[in-house]
Amino acid sequence: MLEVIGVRCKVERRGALAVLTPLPGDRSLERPEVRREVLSVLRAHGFTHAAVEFADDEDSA
Amino acid sequence: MRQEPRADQVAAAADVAADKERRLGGWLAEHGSVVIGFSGGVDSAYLACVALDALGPKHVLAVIGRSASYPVEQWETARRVAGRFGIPVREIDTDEMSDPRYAANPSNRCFFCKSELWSRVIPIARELRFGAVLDGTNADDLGGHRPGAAAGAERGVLSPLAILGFTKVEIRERSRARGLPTWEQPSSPCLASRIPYGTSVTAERLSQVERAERAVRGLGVAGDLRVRYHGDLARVELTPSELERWLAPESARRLRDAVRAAAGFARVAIDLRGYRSGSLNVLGGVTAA
Repeated sequence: MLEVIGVRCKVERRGALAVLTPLPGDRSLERPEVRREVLSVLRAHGFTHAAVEFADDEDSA
Repeated sequence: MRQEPRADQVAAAADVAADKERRLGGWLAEHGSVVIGFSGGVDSAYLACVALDALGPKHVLAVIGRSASYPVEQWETARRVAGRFGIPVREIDTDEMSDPRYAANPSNRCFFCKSELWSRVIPIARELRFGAVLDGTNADDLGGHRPGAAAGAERGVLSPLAILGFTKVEIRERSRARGLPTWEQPSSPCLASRIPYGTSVTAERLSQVERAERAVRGLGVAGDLRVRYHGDLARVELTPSELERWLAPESARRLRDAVRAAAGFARVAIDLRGYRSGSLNVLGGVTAA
């Protein structure tokens, strides 16, 4: 659902919290206007919170 | 777009705050002697200092309630402020953790914590024949979800900063004017506020979030900061300016590694919206998003 706004990441649902893991090379969430859009999209899907996780396997990317 | 206030508006606001402080001094004088629930936070530190000026040291007692949910850094600040300004202090241990109603972490958890605190503070005030027991609740606090306030109200604890309409901004402004080091100190509610409702509060979990926050501070993070507990995952809330800095992957990994090493969380995530007071109230459906 976030790919359509240009964000490439995995989304994990933990209740009302969405944990986003960016795919290698995606740095779009560093931009505040993108974060606002992401939060808006996630709200529409019932999430109240979103957090970005940088996973171990990204370290080698 | 938000505009910066003009100089005359700033001066007028400062006059309003100074006038409230004069009225606070009068209010305190009417009560003669006061015991204050003293956390060393912005509000109670300010209240204690004004009370000391208005009543003198024989008529003011600041009581610090220590427990696993009270951050060590906050305790150190409380002692430092009291020592610097000559505020008489008594330290007591509170044991809300042994109350299963508190440990179960319902949405009114704070009620049980404050009930425990006041059940120990009020007898001290009675024994020493002090006129009133006060807390540092301010006018901004009145609108939010604060079940702890009910515990105080049930026992006759008074909140002069709220009664006289002090906002947090005004308390910071007057604290700055008085040279209180707490004036720009971030808000620091108890550590249990980092644990979602329904997830039990344990000493180990409180210690985990405290260690994690200390580790993040150790990286040079300023301003409001919370590490929220989500089992194996720590969710870090930062102020907007810090968020910009720490969302870059290389910085985020440094933060992640620091939290993992200090607190043992398997996973670490940075909240996209950043710090918000009462974040877990929203997540728990207690207040609206």
